[in-house]
Amino acid sequence: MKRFIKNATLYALIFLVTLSFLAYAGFHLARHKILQNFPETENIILGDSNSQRAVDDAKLNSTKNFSSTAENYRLSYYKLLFIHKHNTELKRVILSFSPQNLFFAFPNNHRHSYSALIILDPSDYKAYYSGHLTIKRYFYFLKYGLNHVINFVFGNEMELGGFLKINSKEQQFYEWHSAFCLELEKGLITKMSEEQIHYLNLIIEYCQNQNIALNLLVTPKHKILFEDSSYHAEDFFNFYNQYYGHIPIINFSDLQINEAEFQDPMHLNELGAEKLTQKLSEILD
Amino acid sequence: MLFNSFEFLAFLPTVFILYWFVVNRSLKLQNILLLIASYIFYGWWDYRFLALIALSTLIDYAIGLLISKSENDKSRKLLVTISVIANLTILGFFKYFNFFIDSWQEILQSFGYQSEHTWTLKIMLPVGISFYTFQTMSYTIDIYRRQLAPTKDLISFATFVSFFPQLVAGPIEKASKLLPQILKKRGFNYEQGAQGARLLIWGMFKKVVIADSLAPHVYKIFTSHESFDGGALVMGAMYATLQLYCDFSGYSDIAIGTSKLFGVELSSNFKFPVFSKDLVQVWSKWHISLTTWFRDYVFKSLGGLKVSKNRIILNVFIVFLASGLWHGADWKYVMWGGIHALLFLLTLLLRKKIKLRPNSALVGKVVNLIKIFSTFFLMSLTLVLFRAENVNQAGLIYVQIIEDLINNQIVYDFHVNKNLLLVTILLAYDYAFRKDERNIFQFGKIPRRLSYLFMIMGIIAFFNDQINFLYFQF
Repeated sequence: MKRFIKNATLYALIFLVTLSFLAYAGFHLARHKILQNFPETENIILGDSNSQRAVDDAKLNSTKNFSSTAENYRLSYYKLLFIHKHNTELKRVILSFSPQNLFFAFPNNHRHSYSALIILDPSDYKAYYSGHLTIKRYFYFLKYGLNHVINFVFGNEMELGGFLKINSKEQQFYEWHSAFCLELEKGLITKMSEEQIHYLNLIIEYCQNQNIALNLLVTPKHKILFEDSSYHAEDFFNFYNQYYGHIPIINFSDLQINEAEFQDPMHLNELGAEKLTQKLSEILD
Repeated sequence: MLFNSFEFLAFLPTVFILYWFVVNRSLKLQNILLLIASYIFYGWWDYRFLALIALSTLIDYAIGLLISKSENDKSRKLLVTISVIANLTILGFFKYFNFFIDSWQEILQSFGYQSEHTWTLKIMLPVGISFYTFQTMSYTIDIYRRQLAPTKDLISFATFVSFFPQLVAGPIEKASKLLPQILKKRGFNYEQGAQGARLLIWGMFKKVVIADSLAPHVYKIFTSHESFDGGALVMGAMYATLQLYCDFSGYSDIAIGTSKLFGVELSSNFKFPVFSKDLVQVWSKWHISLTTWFRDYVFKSLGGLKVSKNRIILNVFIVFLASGLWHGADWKYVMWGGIHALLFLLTLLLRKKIKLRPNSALVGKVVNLIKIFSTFFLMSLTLVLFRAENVNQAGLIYVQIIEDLINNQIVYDFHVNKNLLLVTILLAYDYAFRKDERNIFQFGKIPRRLSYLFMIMGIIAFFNDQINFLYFQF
């Protein structure tokens, strides 16, 4: 038994050290690869899956969509600092802005956000990351770092975010809505997130100080979502008018979108994205 | 609790340490610990169904004792029948009630009778019910056949029924193999422990890295088959076979490996079935514990090989149809079983009629390769029925493949991608381990250690605790 425990511990330690080193290198590789062809662009789009699936940046002039799934404003803020540092052309930021952004903060330790934050500055990832280190968080550090190593070996593209084109056949309208209603029932979207508001304010402040125009982007939602009182649509617009009325808003909540153009009640599919991108293009021009 | 979860990562070392360092001096305490751990493991998913396991345990424990006390053949037969009926009733209610009611209503409707009421119930399928009911049934049948003495130790018997490594997806253990190990004092053996750890790593790699990587591709094929041509559908069916193999054999390896860590040997469940040379061989290498169960408790009960030829053919069909139905309450599984029965019998016939004698070793190897590939191809084609949403969808997929084949449009856009690379890794390791499926990684020190590192790296990088094991649904 002693021999087994000794060997198992030894193996575990050697593997942990080796894999930690590899994972750390993985984040550096990812950052290096991202910076290799970093776009010089005037407009950037930041935010969660709403803007990620709604704006096809290939159809817009000098615009890059950096949104990613479940992105919170904390990540958007650090992305903005990173992008601005490496993209001197930046003139405008379009930030996804919908009720779930104020009433629900994807937690800091959300896997995607965590991974992206470390890529932004691998040597100082703890500074970007509040809270203490747990086994689970360390595991995700290893997981994403090693993932980057594998992606690098396979020559896969690495990005901070980007437009996600949803096939119009892949509609999950009712399944998604019932799952979302369950989340609502659990009371996950009940009060405003102080953290989200804090980082939203930091983004606003940064844009003002750096003379970067900021637009808040409300993507279309299906009426079953907007009419659901627990989605807080009314509270959201009241809050905007009261505190952020001075920030220009691009409000597509009343854009005519039919059911076939939604992926689910909150996200657009490729057809919806085409329509919205066209409208956004007219506004930006 | 899933094997591929953080909870299990904490659960296993805790139970291991308690088992070998705290309760190691007493067999009774070891079994009590295993029993508690097993109930926690199962209850993590849904504690309400623990009562069902307990009920199954108590019924067979009591009937086992009663059978052994009785010298009268009639009453012994009656008791074993009660045990089988009780277990099949529990299984039938939770797994097949709605299926039979639906089927009955469809029959009535085909005769023009419209039922106003729907009699189906909202029944949740308890995870692993098909596995543990078969295991407990084997206990009373073995006692009835006088192949096993009953145990009076309820704790040990309950541990045998609920032994956590194999509780939810097998291997289905015969009582005569597992129970004596539970009743005997177990000591730690370094080689056994090391083998267990290796099997854990290999099983986890197959599940987390290979099966879960193939899953999205297979899911796409079987949810929107109309967007794919025949070539892609054939390739999708092959990937589906490999996904199922890696998922289920991965689970079995983890179960066998975990069990070894506690000094208990489970039966092998897979013996590299992708290298089978015909379909008869497949059934001696794929889900062996289920095949053995049906052979020992159904086929032999129906007369085995001691009956007429026609009766044997009928019995083979009964066994395969029952095995199909065991997989799920759906006609597609029954049809899948039926097709396999037919192919099984045809293969036996071909084996008798055609005897190839290659004139050189090289020709022999080529013939074997052709046999292996054609067997795998056939397995994959039948698996379409298994994996499709229903018989209708499977039919549409077959039609698409045949149409494209007739029109000479079976083309697969072949390019090296991640999935293909993973499949190559699987085949290479499977081939390297083929001599002994329980004693793997028999390489030199450096390749072995590099393999561990490579696999652990893969497991961590591909880890996704949201994906269940496929066989949990059965």
